[in-house]
Amino acid sequence: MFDLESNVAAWRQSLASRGSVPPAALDELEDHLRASFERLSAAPGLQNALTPDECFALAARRIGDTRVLAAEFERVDPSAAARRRWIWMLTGYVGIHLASQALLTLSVIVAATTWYADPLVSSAVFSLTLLGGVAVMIWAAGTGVVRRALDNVTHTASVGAWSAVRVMALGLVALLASTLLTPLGTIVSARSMSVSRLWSDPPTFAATVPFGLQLSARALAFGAPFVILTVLLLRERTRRSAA
Amino acid sequence: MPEPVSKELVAASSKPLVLAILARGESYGYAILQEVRERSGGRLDWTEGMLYPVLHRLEAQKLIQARWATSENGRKRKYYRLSRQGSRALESERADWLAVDATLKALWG
Repeated sequence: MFDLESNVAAWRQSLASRGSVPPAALDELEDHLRASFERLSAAPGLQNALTPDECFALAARRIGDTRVLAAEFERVDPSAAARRRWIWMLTGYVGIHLASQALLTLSVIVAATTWYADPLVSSAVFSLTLLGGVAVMIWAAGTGVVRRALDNVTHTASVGAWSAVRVMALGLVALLASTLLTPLGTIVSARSMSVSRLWSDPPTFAATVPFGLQLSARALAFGAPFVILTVLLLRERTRRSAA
Repeated sequence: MPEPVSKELVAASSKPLVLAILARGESYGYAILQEVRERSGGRLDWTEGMLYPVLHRLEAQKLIQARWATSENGRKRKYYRLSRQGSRALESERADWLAVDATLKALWG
């Protein structure tokens, strides 16, 4: 069964995700797509020849390749597109970091409640909470839940989803790096954590991970996102000036 | 079917075409395209979406003005009309294109 609304939404999303088409233009193009679809579905000669599905595909094809279209829009106002990306990148970056800090704190508090029962159980609880939180964040980024929620609040209608997705990915890399690169440090040893005072009895094997390794892993986890972000932005600028 | 006009010429003529159509009265994207298709006998075949960056550029140059209104089927629709500056721009476009046309005609006899 052909569902016009979901097809229109998917088409709109694919155009919006390029990041250069302003929301008002998306509305305008959507109106065009619907008008074109209605006309094709009502055309006397085509009514029996084409399924609604095919009418929609034809209407979308006539509007043109979304990539080419988005590039053309970027040429209309290059600075606006760049501005939107910057804002999204910064918002996303800050958002991810706040979320990951909150998650880390939550994991420590949850784990601390079980510490006296059994340090091993406590470590397991800690990693499970942390990994569960990471899974939720990956899910939220993948399904666009957060972005849609933000859209509803700010009415920006998926502006710059292009960068939103990348920023989510970037933040997750940062989070995964801090979880995985300091694994021995954070999961097993309470000593390496800044909030370790919650854990009154540091495990005896805390010292098995050399302090230097812990430190460099932390520095890497903290610095990598900045490096990646800078490289991405520089590449974007080069690409733009080349075009 | 007649052979379509080359992409380059379609792009070059988009500005005078849009201005000329809007000079006849307020209109919106889909209707503008229909009119171009009909009046050119199908020879001017635009990739439909490409009209919108053109409209937005003309709007930014203040040659046309836009307003949002509700269409007959209840959807939000953006209508465009020619501004005074646009009328002047259309006049100069017209002079340019007539000059090209006259030159070609003189050469081709």
